[in-house]
Amino acid sequence: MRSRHDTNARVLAAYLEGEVTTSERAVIDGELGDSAQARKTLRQLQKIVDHLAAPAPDLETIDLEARVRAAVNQPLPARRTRARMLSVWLAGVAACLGGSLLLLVHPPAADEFRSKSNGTASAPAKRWAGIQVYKATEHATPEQLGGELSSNDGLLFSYTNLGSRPFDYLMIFAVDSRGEVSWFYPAHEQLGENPDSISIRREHANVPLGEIIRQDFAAGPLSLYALFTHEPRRVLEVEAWVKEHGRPLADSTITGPDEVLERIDARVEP
Amino acid sequence: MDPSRRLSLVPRRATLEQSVGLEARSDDELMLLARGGVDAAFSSLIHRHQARTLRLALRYLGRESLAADVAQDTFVEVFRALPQYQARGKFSSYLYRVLLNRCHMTWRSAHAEQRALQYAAETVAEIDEVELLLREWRRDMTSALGGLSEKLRSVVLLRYCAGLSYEEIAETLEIPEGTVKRRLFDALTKLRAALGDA
Repeated sequence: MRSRHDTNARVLAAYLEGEVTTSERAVIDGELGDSAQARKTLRQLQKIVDHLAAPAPDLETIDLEARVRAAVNQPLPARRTRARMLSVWLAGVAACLGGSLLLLVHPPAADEFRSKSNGTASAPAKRWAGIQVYKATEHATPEQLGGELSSNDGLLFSYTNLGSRPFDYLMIFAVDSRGEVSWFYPAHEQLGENPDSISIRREHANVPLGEIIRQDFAAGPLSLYALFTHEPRRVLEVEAWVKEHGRPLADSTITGPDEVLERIDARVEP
Repeated sequence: MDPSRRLSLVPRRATLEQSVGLEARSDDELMLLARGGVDAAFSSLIHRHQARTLRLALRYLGRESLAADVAQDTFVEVFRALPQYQARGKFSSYLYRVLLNRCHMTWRSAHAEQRALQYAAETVAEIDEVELLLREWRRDMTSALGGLSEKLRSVVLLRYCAGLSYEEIAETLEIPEGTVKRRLFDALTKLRAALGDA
């Protein structure tokens, strides 16, 4: 049960916050003029608020940015490298020009996609969701992946996500001739982590994912996969599925209904 | 964006070009720039929210070192979540939700709580009387905050330490604005009662 004393303090707290009506304020102002106890309570409340809002001098010397950088910059395994400087430059070029790179991109045709066998993926989803893959060599302009790449080539992706029910999440990964799964999106470079799908833009076509990514693929056949979903999926969940079933076919069921798995086959030259 | 990428210590050319005017950009814009690889954008976000996040963590946990650790972990978590971040104009709500969760987890750690109390006991030695009274007040305040329920504590800290509006607090805690106000007034009333004439 709330005491009258507490009720008064509560009213004064509202008064302090400016959450009283004009007439209530007039009444409270009158009480503050008459009651030393009310004035004391208000002072106590104000002191609490002032203390909470006051700067914390002891914390001003903390270099939080340096601490965050140090925590983020953990050593990475030499599993793959991303061409970051080039990727930022390319993202800028793609955004500004929308030309040399994006002119290569075209909306995916229906026969580029093979959805899952359960047949629950909608036809528009099959037709209007997909990725475009570009090969980036050391010195040449990126070009659409034609089926062959060398182990030194980087890959660059864009995606299209149209249709009556666009997707929300995307994963892009590859399975090489050794059966090893390599991740493009999301990045998966730290052991012990289990990142989930990246969020994608709905109702957009040819959206560039602005990084050139180089992977250490084994020579031989390589399958690139794009998994479009409405719910995020976890990397380890997909890797477990691949481990169990081998290289997934585009008409295989990895996750659930109403999702699209696109497969693009290529070959890695030694 | 690679969530576990290395933050470059040397600004890249693209970073320098795009960092112009970062201070004027919204939190969402900075998040999107950071996702695109502009390290300076994330640095700008940290600087923008550093004082308030550290202050809130300090008031919650009562100890500078714990506050710094929690604030650091909060920004690391935000950085790693860049690929999943959805720009809806609610970055503050997102940031403080992460921060409160981390504060709460740390607070629940009996070891951390014990260390905080031990620290408070140790640091009252060798200081003058005025400083002693001030420290006692702070310690009592920390204790009083700790005596609040999690619901009340979150609201009062978000309001005064983080400076959030009622609307932002409501978004952060996913409760109606009326509930925010009620909890805030209750929290202040309980704090005053706990502190008495201190």
